[in-house]
Amino acid sequence: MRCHLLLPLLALAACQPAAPAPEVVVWAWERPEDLRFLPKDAEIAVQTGFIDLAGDNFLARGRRFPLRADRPPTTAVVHIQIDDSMPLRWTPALRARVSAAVLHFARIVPAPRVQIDFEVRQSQRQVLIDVLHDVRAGLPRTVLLSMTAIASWCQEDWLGALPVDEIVPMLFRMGRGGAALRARIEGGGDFAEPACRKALAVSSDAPIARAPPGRRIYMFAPQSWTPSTFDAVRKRVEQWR
Amino acid sequence: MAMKRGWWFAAAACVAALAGTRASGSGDPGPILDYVTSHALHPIDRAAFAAGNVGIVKPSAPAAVRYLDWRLLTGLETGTDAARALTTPCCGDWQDLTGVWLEARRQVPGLEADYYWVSTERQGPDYTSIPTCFGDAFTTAAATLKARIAAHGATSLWVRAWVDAQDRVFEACSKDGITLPPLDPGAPAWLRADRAYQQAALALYDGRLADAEAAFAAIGRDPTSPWHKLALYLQARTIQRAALTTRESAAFARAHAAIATLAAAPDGTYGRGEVVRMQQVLDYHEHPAALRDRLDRVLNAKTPTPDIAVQFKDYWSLSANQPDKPEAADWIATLGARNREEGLAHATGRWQATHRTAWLVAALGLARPDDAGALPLLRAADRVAADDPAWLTARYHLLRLRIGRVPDATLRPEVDALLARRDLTPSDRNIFLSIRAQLATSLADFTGYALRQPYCKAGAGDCAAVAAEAQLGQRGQDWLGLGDDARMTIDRLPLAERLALGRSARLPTALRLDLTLTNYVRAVLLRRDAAVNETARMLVTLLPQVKADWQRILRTPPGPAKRFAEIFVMTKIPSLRTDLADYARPHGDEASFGGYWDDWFVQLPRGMAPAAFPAAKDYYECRWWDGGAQDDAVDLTCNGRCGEAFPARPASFARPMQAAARSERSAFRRAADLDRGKTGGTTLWEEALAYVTAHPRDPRAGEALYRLNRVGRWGNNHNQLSKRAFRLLHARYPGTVWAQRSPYYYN
Repeated sequence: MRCHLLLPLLALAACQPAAPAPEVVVWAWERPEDLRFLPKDAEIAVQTGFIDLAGDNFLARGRRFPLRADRPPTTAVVHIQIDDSMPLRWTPALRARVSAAVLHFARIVPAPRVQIDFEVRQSQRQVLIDVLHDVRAGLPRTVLLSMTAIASWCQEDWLGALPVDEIVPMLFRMGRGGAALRARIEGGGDFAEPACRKALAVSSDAPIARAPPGRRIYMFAPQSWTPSTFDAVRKRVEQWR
Repeated sequence: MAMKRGWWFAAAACVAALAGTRASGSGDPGPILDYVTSHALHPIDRAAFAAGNVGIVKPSAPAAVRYLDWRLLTGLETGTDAARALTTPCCGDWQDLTGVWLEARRQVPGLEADYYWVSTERQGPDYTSIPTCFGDAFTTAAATLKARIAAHGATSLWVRAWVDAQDRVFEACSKDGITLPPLDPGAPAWLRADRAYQQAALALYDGRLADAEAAFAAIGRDPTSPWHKLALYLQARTIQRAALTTRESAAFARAHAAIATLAAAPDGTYGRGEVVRMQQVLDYHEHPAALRDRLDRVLNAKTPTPDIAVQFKDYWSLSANQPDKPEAADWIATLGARNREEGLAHATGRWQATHRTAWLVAALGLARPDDAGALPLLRAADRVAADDPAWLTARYHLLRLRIGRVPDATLRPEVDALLARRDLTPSDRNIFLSIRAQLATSLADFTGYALRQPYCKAGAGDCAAVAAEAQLGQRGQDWLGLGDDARMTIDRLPLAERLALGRSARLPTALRLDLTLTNYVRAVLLRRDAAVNETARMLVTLLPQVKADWQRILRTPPGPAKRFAEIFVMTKIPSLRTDLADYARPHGDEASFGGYWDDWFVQLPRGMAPAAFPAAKDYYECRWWDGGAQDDAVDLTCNGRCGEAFPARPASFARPMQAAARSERSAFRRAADLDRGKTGGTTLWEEALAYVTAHPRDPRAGEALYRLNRVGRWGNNHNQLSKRAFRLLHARYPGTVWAQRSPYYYN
């Protein structure tokens, strides 16, 4: 009976036009970038802030390298990291100071989306969770909050409760179990955590043969972007459909 | 309060340093506590440099550390201060100090309390940020406020007026158009003097440099101002900043004159000690080539200068990308040459021309055994005298270039002699331990060299924080881990040898847990009841969180029920693996065990490719960004920090066992190993599902279905395991707690 109901739906799906091209977002990372060559439909996510936590203090600075673009970025990215040379003392006072700094860099450009890029060890997850809660509380509701994620996090069950609108699993530098996860994704599988199914990130130097279609795609390159690098990554991404 | 330091100088240095670092992608969790470091952040490594011990030269080290190597290799002195200055990362003192100020102002009642951070940068063009205010401005403000509170009281309206103005000054760090509140005509003299200083600082931050200069000059003319003594210095800095902003020759001339005036001031004048640095900042922009040549002479002088780190930063930034580098900069650049062949040819040529062992070291670092010029380099390395600072590096590369090409027995005594030395840094000891483990003659011999001491600060708890992730174990006060090469060897051993190693009391308990858990999985997959029992017996104490499950396995006789008990406990431990390569230690209680389940076949799909060992690169501890490396370029000995890769290979004694170990691996196949598009086969979890289906009255059935639902959900869900477990659970045990805990099916 259930199969019978499904058949008309499948037929309807077959009649639909081809899926639209995926939304693509180019990351303007910590290097000079000239993205004026981008096609009109490509968005820009610019790293506006860099925060390095160490001990009971931190370093916070804005972008040091110019981004040349013919359109405003749609995403402000704040990168946070923990310096392992000095054990972090995550106190309420430090949390308040760091969160205030993150919010400053998140609002430094008037983008409709803010992204937190903060990769942590298992023992440091609470720091990430705290920051996300503070940033969500400090941003206007109209601003979307995005976070990057080590892909293997999306096979665990702690991301779903985070106060974010988008989780971007990175299909490069995937973390422990990366090979198995890569095989799963390339084999047509998906991330176990449903919150990880809206967007994903790829790198120009770590091509992946296939990933679930219909996602917002963030593109990373280890060097400054060039038109040919962009075209190559985009072409690959469009082949996933 | 006005800054005291050359921000432009530090900013330029930091930008240069950032540009030279490895692209960090979208970031990573930072370096894990490592067995080999090239950064010399640990006091032991710094002390070695200070004592003149170069150790194994690591071409991946920051440029300033490579310059320290250069000094030692060319017979120049180092000393404690120079070693500390050169090994301190750029901008490490750029910690946020706004908190010091914000904490101080909380002493004044009635101020906004929900104020935690001050932006110290202004927006520049093209989304850049330009540093405006620096840490000492905030510490000076905090100290001043403390003094004013001590003198006039925290509730004084004048103190409150001072803080209000200071808040506005700091607001100008990031905003244009800031003005100070009007000063009450009845304000006391001290507040008037402070206000004049605040106005000058505001003008400086606002880029109104002529106003700032005039204001500091006026303060200098007022002997009653508490800021009087700082005025000459701050005036000179303001004029210097104007020169660097306009880049006009007249402005540079004014700056030189102002610095000369400061230099001619009486002893004890504030800021006079900054004169040399201030002059260097001007030279950097006005006469870069001359400055570089002067710094080259200074930096190659026998005795290090107090400003050696600052001088090196300028020297390196003026040399690094120039084709005609001075020799020291050339050597530093050649160590990290991007084009190996060109770098090797250049280093070899320089060595032949200069006969400096520094150049021999550079060439050795870039050489591969098959290079045409490797033999002369090897011979030269063998002739390096034992008292030469290059000796240890030469011995390392001799071992690297000869291992596997000469009998192990030839190399073994040499490594033993190296390990007997007392002057090895932890990094270098770990490197030679790795080499010695690869030359091991037996499992017992191997065990003695497999353990390595990571870089952890005793008592700081940083090892403990990552112990599970890094697979570390504690023995007394020491944290120990298995070297990357050792874990690769262990994973390539047959189960019998792995079991023997798991019994070794020489391993810390936590490492025995790692080994025994992976052995347990292997034993289950190989269906070896004796091995299952042995490991389960050990796990009763090693992993007591699921003690009852281990005990049930031990008391259940061989057969389907025992098999089910074996798999049942595996549904509780999601990070179980057959190999240390991708295993993660369970920690906390059973509910908090992390990871996701692997799915092993008990019946293989047709046409599955033959079993293989994990790739060598899988043993890089948390270095995901090297995932694309080919196996022949994987360096599990020096982690790629000593130049060309030390070949990754299993220990000698293990090599005859490889065929047996590979044969066992045919039982360790996983759904993730399947080629795309292939299906079929039966997994371990399906075996458990079949047992539950056939044994509806088993008291564990409901829980097993709940767990199998989770295994499928978070694992690979082969053949829709999750769905099948969910349906059976809700059809057969609908009212149980296990059904309530899994209210929906998830694919």
